[in-house]
Amino acid sequence: MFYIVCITLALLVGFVYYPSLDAYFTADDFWHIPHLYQALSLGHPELLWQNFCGPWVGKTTFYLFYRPITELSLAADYFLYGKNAAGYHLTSILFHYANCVLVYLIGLKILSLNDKESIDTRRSQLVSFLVAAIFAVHPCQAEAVSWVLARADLVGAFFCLISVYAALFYAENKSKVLYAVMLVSMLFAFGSKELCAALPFILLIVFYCRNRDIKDTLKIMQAPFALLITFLIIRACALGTPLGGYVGTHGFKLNESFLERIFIPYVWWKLAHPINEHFILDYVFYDTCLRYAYIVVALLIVLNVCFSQSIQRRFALTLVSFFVVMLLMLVNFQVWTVCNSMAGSRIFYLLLFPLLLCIANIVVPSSIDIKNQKTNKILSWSAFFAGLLLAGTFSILCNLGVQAWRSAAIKTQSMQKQIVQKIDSMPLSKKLAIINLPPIIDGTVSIFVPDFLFGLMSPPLLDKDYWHRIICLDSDLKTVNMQNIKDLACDPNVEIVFWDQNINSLDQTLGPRLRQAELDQHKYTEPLKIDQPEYFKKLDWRISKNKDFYQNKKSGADIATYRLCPPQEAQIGRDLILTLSKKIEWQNKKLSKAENLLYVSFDDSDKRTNIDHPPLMFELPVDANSIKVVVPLSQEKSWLAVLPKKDLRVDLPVCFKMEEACIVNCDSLKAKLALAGKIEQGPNGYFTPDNSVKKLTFNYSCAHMKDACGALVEISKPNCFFTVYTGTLRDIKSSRHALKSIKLNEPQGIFSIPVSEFPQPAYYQIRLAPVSKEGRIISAFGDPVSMSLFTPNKN
Amino acid sequence: MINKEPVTNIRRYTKIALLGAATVFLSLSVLDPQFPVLAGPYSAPVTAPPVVEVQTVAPPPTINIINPAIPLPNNTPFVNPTDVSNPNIITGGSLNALLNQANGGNLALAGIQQVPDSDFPDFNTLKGDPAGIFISGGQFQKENDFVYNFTKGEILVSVRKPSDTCIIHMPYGSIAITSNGDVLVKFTDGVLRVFNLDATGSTLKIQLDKGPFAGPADPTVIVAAGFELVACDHKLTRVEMRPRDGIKRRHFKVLDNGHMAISEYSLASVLDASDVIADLKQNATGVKERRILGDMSKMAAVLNYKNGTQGFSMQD
Repeated sequence: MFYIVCITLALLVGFVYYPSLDAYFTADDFWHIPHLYQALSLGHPELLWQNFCGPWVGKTTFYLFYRPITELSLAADYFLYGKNAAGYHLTSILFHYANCVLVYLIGLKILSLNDKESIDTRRSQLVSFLVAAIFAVHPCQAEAVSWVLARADLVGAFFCLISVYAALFYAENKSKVLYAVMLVSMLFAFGSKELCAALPFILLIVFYCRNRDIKDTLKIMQAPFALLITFLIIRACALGTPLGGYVGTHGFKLNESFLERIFIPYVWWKLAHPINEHFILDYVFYDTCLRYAYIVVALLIVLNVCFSQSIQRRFALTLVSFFVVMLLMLVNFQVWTVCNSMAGSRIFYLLLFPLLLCIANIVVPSSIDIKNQKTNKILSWSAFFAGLLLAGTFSILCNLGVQAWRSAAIKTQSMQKQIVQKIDSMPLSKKLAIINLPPIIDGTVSIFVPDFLFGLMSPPLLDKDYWHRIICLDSDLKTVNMQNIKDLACDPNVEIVFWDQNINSLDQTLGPRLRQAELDQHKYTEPLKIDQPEYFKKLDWRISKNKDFYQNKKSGADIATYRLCPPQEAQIGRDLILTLSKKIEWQNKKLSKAENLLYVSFDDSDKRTNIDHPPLMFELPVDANSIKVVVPLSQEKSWLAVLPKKDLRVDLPVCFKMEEACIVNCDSLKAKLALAGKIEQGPNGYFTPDNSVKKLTFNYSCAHMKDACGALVEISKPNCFFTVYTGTLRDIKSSRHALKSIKLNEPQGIFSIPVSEFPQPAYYQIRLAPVSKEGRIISAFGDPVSMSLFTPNKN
Repeated sequence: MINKEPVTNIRRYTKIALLGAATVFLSLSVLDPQFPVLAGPYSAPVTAPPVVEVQTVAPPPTINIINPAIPLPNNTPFVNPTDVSNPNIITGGSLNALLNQANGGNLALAGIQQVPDSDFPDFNTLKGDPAGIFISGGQFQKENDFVYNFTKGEILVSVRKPSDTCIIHMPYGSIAITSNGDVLVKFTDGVLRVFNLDATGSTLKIQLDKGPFAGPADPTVIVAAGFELVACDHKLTRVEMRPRDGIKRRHFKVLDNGHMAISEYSLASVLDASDVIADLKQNATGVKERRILGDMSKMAAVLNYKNGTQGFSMQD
């Protein structure tokens, strides 16, 4: 039976995951591959040792992880395969297969231990097989197997499962060898992924359930807990902090949204309906299959309850498994999130095993509980077919999910090739500034941090170092720093290009369009033509599955919709100013904030922009009868896209009327801040001063803003960017996430910040807003200057 | 047929829990909930940007900016840098090979600057008095008073007033030396080496446009005194970067896909190690030779004083 199961699992894993052999490197992989290149090809193996003494590959700006064992696994792959991504994916598939076999063996062992009176062997084998099969092909595993850096999940799970398996046998025969295997595996698991810190607690449960003797259990668990404490101390020393995890803005947003993510069961919903909605567009059939399977499962549970004589015996194991699930979830709290594209689903990798065991145990009947053999047989076969249906549907969905990674690989390599071709065609003195690189491709994570481009554009993945000829302007996913772009457009040594994600091609017209926009900055100032509005029903775009918000055609009386057509030549570096007045009949009525929303959306009916951009939303003051609002189109990436937009859609609350709409040069509406001195903008878009620079000097001007008597400067916290908190560069309030503020008494001039004011090597943003005599911020903050301040050997 | 047995509290709670689980599965099958989009780590946050009140909507006024643009350094020697495949080439002991390479590489890059191809003189337009051009050693042929073909060996080229420019055609391109400058050129085993002995400023220009350098991206560079340019038809190896020729070197930077490299060398060691220069020294009566030697010696002293002698090393 064991061999049949192994062969079946091998066929399943092979069928589902074979497309991942064509997948490439992505996201964080582009930090690790160059690191391994330095360590193994350039002859610095001590860099591998550094993973034992410090953060994972020395990265401190995005996350603080301690995973030396995972890095050794990747190093072994680099040693064998070099830059050939297929080899890494093969190793991942093999790890996953090994984990599936271990899941089967552990399930078998647990179920045999659970049945003390007599062992229902057939049932144990059936449950274990179903659990292992679904574990193998659940679509949540696609990310863990297809993404090289998710090796941490595979390796961590591998050692965890070995440790649990050894513990199960040790609980029977008390062999010292098995105890040693358990401890060593545990240690390797700790060094693979932080999730494995829950392992000692899982083993505590295992031993207690086996022995039912708390003293004996605690005696056995002394060494594992001592190992855990020692490991946590070493980890804290290596990271410089006891916690770690995601840091900077990323970590902050995860921590801030923690309660929301825990109490909104979206993540569990994606576990049950694991469809990559970015890649699988027509998934109704698969969803229907899953729903039928869940109906059968629900019925089977009910029937088990009705016909079982001692259901509580099985329920004990279910309860324990569920408790283990909660334990694993507890350790994963910070990253407990899955997107609708299944990005982030690797958090379920190890957790799936106890969860599936928990469910299978109450679905598959036992001949010990159900004495009526005929009933038992019918329920068993029903459970088997329900399991097959689930496994079959999951395997197709998983295969499609893995194909998404393959498709993303093709697009990533095409992007790499096009950038290389572009740079090769440029004079050697020129650099290429790129914007709008895709953070997600076909639902899989890609270049969502500029630093990821480093590995993609330098050895060993390329023969030459192209990274130092690039300036990546994607420090934010949604907004652009128009001031930075305009400065670069005027630099003869820089060519600016835009990555069009819809046609996967570089658009090279952005630079000339920017320069032309600068020349035409005083043109096209006439107000735009305003037609009579149409009236529609308001959509809550956040929960709307219709991504084409612009195409909202549901008639209603909630919103008055205006369509504005700015001239094509005046669509770069311009903001929209709307003059609104409340209708007389509404002037004494107060609307709630939720009702008083202004929406501005772009015409993406021809899909020329980012696949997923929401409309701009603004809260209008609830008691304003007349107001002028600035819609900062100039900061929106989607407004910078290849072809000029046909028109804008502006949705107003029905109580407002649009009096006037103008397109205005954005420079006149915000302060200007620029870094003085010879400080180069690095490839990741951040200005990086030399170590010899002791103070940073800035030029600023907001004298053109009415009533501006001074300025307020804010410095962000380390690795935290203001944009991420509010979604806009044009904040109108000072941020509580600012590290420091500086008040300037003149509306224009020069100021300096000593480098010693920055507490640690990290990325920082500095931004400036004009203030009135009373100290009130006028208009909004301008475009920030993003800096990276690092000391040598500490990046 | 449903079995009956005494219903204990445990059994009751168990049943309730299991029926709850069944309800969950039933919900999963029939519901179609609309969850709000969460601010996950892979999507931009969903926030409503605030409204900004604007006081004036006048035409964009002139913005009086004090030096807003960030000036680029004028002397950016940008010849496509590449990672070095052999860390032993990099001097220093830092663990961070790339950074170390960047430090040493940056210093090497200080000795090279790319210029437009049009800056390289046209050999058809050269004229003047050729009396100041002196070439010795190696195998070369004279095409005319100002242009020579060099095929192999080692030659010393000196251009002094009243001569203006001399061009040497080499296997991988050409070099142009204007007065006053002395250059040592070697070509052996497919490796071309150009040592700028004492040519200051843009006196020495090298255009690589043949062999592996042919094509639109062929570089034209200026090499500073005290620097050696190495070019090869294959990727340079460690041995080729640091040959056993008695010349001390430091600060290496490989360029152009590994076919070209720049490094700083010790002029004092060249004066001792070069056969051609040794021949010069033994010429007791040559005025030109003595003047060339004198100029090179002075430049060696200047470079030692200016750049120091730390870090030079020689392969044994």
